[in-house]
Amino acid sequence: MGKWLGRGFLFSSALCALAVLAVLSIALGEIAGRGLPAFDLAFFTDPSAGAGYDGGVLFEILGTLILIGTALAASLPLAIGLALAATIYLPRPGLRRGALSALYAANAVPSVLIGIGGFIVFVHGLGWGKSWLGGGLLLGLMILPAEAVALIERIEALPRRYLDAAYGLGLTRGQVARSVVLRQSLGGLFSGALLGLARAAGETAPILFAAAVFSGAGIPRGLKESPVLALPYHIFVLAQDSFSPAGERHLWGAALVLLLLVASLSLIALPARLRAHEESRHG
Amino acid sequence: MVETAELSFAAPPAAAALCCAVPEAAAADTALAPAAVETRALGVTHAGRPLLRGIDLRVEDRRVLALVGPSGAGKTTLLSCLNRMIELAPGIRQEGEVFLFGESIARRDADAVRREVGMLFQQPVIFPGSIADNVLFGLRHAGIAPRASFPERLERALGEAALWDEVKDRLREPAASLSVGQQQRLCLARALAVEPRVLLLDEPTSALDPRSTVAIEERIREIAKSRAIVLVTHSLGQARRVADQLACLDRRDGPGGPAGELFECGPCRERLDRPQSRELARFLESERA
Amino acid sequence: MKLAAHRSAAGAERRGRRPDVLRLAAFGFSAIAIAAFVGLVAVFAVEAWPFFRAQGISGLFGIRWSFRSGRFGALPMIYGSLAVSLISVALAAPIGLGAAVFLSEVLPRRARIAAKVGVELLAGIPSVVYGLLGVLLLRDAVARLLRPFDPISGDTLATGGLLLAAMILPTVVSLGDDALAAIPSSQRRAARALGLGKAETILRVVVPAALPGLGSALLLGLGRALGETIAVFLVIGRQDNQWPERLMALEPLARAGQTVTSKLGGSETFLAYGDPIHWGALLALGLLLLAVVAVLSFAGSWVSLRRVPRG
Repeated sequence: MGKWLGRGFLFSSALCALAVLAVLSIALGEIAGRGLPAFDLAFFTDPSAGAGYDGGVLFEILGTLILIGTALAASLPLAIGLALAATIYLPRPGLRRGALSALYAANAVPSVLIGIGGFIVFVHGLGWGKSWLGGGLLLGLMILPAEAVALIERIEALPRRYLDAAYGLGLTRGQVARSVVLRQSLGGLFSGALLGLARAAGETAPILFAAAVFSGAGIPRGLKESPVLALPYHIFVLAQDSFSPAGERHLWGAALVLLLLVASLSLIALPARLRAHEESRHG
Repeated sequence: MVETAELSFAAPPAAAALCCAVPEAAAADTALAPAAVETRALGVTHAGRPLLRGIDLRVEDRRVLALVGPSGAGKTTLLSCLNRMIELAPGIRQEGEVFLFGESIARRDADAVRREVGMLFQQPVIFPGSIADNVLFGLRHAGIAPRASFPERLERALGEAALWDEVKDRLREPAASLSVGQQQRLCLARALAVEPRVLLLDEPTSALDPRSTVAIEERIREIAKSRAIVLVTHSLGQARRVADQLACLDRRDGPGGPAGELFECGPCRERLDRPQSRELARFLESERA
Repeated sequence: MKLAAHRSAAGAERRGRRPDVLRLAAFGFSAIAIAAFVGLVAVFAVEAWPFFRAQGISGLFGIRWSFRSGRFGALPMIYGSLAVSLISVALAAPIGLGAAVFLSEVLPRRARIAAKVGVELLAGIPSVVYGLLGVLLLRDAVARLLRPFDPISGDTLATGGLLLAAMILPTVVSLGDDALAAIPSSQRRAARALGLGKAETILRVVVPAALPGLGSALLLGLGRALGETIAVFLVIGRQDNQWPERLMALEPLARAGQTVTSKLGGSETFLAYGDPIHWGALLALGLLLLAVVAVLSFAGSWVSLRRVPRG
């Protein structure tokens, strides 16, 4: 290969990276630029008004927080259970590949299908109607595989000598799991959970059918027929209609709030993830 | 660029002395030819810390130079300077000059230098693909020979590495199916296929079993008949069996911190029996223990 | 020796010491999680059954979807899904893999970390926000761009493809970078020592060795594109029965269309609940989507997990 062809190749890879950077900058720049003018204290403390284009997004934010909190509570025990089962309690080699493949597939399930499933089971089957709990459980189901994978990978990255030392001392598997594995891999669980929350906060389709309404809801009371407002759904509905310039500003503001929420959740997890990632990268 | 050959006498000052002595037997024909590889005041620092300092080394053509010394002295670093591989590491600063047959390698194209100065690593590195693919790998990109000559060069390179008979019937099989000893000889064939004038061997047998080690050592003697070879080795026995010249590297304190310096250089067997520097004597002691 | 220690720990448990609560909990929770996913599939299958019994799966492979007349031909939607997803992969693959090469092979360490953070940020942008960007920005730009094709509006399949390309870009870059970085540096060193230049080393050693991982990155990106609902919903026009006269033509891409996901995410799903056949048809469509995405995911896993896992 000629010298110039080689340099051309490297140069075009740089152009590709630049293109990706451009997409990121345009997206973030537009959202921030158009959304910031909507920010004032009232935006965060007032409920929405005027068919949704005026006022603030208070209850949308609260609703989103309720949903992701529920999702976290529902998904964490299940994720820990799956991870422990796959790594400590059944450590046969074929099982690992199968388990990871299954988890990746579960993670890839389109969220709209999870939403429809919830529609069938929660809204109609259990008769809850649109309910914050149903939405939270669905979101929890959606983020469960990713959390499990993050924990499994973290557990497998533990140096074997910790486990060998513990077993050599005569600990049972349960004791090893509790005192060695879980304690050492809490970081992985933490970052996996945060990333799951970030994803759950931004998803529309699961809550579209089973939890969210556009207006007429505040803090939910009880379980049945107690929907919530939610940021993604709010944006989704508003985006489908034509609107006035003021309404457009409100819309961008809501999008910016959502983006900031998702970004902060991801960024908190960042240091732990970077450390783990660089540890596993070959020199 | 001919450096006057200096025969070093007994005096044991550990300062970086001019190196190496011209071997007694061939003084006549090599005295006036440029050395295959020559370094002048070669120094390397990494992020401010010195790794090598003031290396003046001379490697004669068609001779084997064994580079010995304690771990961490900088032998691999020195080797990487000779084919400009050191440049690939970030944060490295190099001073001094390295000459290849009289020409400074810094002024030449780095890839061309690496074709002329081949390298073998401690662990054999096999590319995915067949045995033939591996041997011809460098040749395909070197552009020094027409495709038509490849089969002949393939056989020649494998023959020089004493691998031809073992693999001639399975050239299309994956290289990964070879044993470790065979893989290292495959790497040797691959390096030889691009017809380097100098070969750098970084502890090529330390990962191999005794039988493969012997096979490679025999090959080194053969290959040295038409090339210069620099061999980093931890085994004094290997140096004794294979090398003409011996150079010893050790860390010494100096400006900036301890760094590798050249302490001795001369005819191999003679220096192994009668070391002329404290550092080499100490190293020999520690190896015998 | 290690295996023996593990086995004796398991044996001690089996010999009836105090039951391990954590073990019970782990298996219990795992069972719940597995049951939830299996249950999801089962629910879909059960609800789709009336449709399968009435029309069989070939009922979906017609050209016309008109639930009022009992026709549920989903081919235009399948075409829409494929068109939009393939456009997005065709755009995101070269750009994303090129950026992955740059990230993994060219950038110095600290810049690479910063770049990975940027890519993660891009990946975290919710799809509804991408949808908003599509609605308010991309739509008009595409309408202007496609003027030669005389589009009615900017809501077209092409718009969906472009938007999806931006959405799967971070996935492709990140997974591609992981695949390239997993190739040991000893391979690169050996190639450079033979006299190969940087670009040659990348193209002849690193990329060929990383092909399984790169292929898996593309498969997973395609799966993500096929499953994306909200962003596509907002910019695609949601026109049913847009079956192109010529399949491989470019012109249908400049018109509005429908994908499987945009149909499922729309209001028709709410309305269809009472009618078993109509509802069954929609769920059958969902099962089809699920099957395709699952196959792509397993193919991607098989390709990249094929090597014996470490440890």
